[in-house]
Amino acid sequence: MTHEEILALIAHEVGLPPEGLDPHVPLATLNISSLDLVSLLFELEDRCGIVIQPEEVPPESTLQQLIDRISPAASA
Amino acid sequence: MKPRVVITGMGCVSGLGRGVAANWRRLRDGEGAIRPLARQGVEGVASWIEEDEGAPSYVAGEDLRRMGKLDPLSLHALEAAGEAVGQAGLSGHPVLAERTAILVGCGSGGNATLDTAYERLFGRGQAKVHPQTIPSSMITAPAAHIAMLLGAHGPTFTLSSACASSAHALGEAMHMIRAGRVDVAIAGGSEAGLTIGAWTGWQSLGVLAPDTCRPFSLGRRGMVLGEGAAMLVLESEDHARARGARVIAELAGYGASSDAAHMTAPDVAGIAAAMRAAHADAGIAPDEPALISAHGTGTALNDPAEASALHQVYGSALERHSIIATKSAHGHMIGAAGAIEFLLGIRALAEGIAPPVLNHLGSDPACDLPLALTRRAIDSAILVSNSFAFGGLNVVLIGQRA
Repeated sequence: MTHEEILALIAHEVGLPPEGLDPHVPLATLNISSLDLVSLLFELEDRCGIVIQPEEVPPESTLQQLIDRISPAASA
Repeated sequence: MKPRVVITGMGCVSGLGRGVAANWRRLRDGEGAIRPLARQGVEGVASWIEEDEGAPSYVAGEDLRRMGKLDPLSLHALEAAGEAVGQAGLSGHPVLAERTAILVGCGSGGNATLDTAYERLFGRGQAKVHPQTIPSSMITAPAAHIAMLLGAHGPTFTLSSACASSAHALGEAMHMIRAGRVDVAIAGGSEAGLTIGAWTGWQSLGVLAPDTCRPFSLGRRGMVLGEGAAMLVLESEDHARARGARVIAELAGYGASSDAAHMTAPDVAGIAAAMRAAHADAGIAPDEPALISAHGTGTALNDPAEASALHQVYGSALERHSIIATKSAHGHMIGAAGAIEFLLGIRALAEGIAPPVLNHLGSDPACDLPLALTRRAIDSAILVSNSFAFGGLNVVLIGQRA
């Protein structure tokens, strides 16, 4: 998956427009609920095969950190 | 003296279209929505909703997005509620905060969401399903979603009684307003069960017609399913007048009974009891010329039982009533049936027009009724709307022209 595709998936799952997703700010400031995050991780596991537990994505982490974890697996 | 409960807003979405105007126009013009169904794993005829991404919506996109994953059950309910509340002019009104109840009738929960989850579980042997499966598919989701849309904090819940769900919802909401517990109630129903699992269940029961829905007709072969939602804004007359709201009609009476007999076959005594109870509650005599919106599913059992009950209750006065059966146009919308049929009946009263009963092949002696087989002018001020559910749960609602 490309960077854009991952961002689009994230945007769709958390119910925000892709333009509203700054990958470098903490998740907590992006108005993503815990249920949205769990849904997102479920979809990512489904599409990319990578398992990420919610505890591994604390509120202070950024989307970019999440994407960096996915990207190597996604393009494999 | 019972406080009067009036209707100040209505909204619906069904196979006939999106919005009350579209639904009424097609119904009035005899344009049915029953047609072959083209959906994965579902083969037959139904009154289904055509997906139309570009269609204008009564609910803003941002409002939908913040509610998470929405099953079509919730989407239909939100559309109908959005239209109804818009017509009532209640968006942002202070009454929504504490003095509004939300009662949604659903026969089942979010079928599409459940089917997707079960396909993973049973079809692919996966250990996990989507995390939002429970909150998105639970039968109470539409009620909660409507409350979230409106910022409503009053009594809110889903009420379920199969084919009578939304009729019960309207009747119970009426009583809440009469009792002074709330000033406004957003009540109605929703159903979205044209999915593989539910469809297979209905097919296996052997009550679905392969051709179409022919209420009270010779050659009828069963019911046809529909989908969608209908919601009405009920309001105490005092509250409506005080804020200068336009009163569409009155919800004047509600009769509810239980056959206590059979899970799927109707009982004439139980049906008749609900009819009499509704008239008693409304204080309207059965010989007042009325527009009767029949339950009229087109099944072998319902139609003669309903006809017998109508003859028992109305006697010789029945000839002066006009009987319509709108399931012939929009199918059996299960949880939404009671509300959409009452809503369309109210439109018929207001327009002075009885919409035609469709798909009629010939008169069945066991179902001898004064049916409106062609569109006709009516002068009644009274609507009697019947909903008789599986399990023998019956509701009759009475509406009155404003």
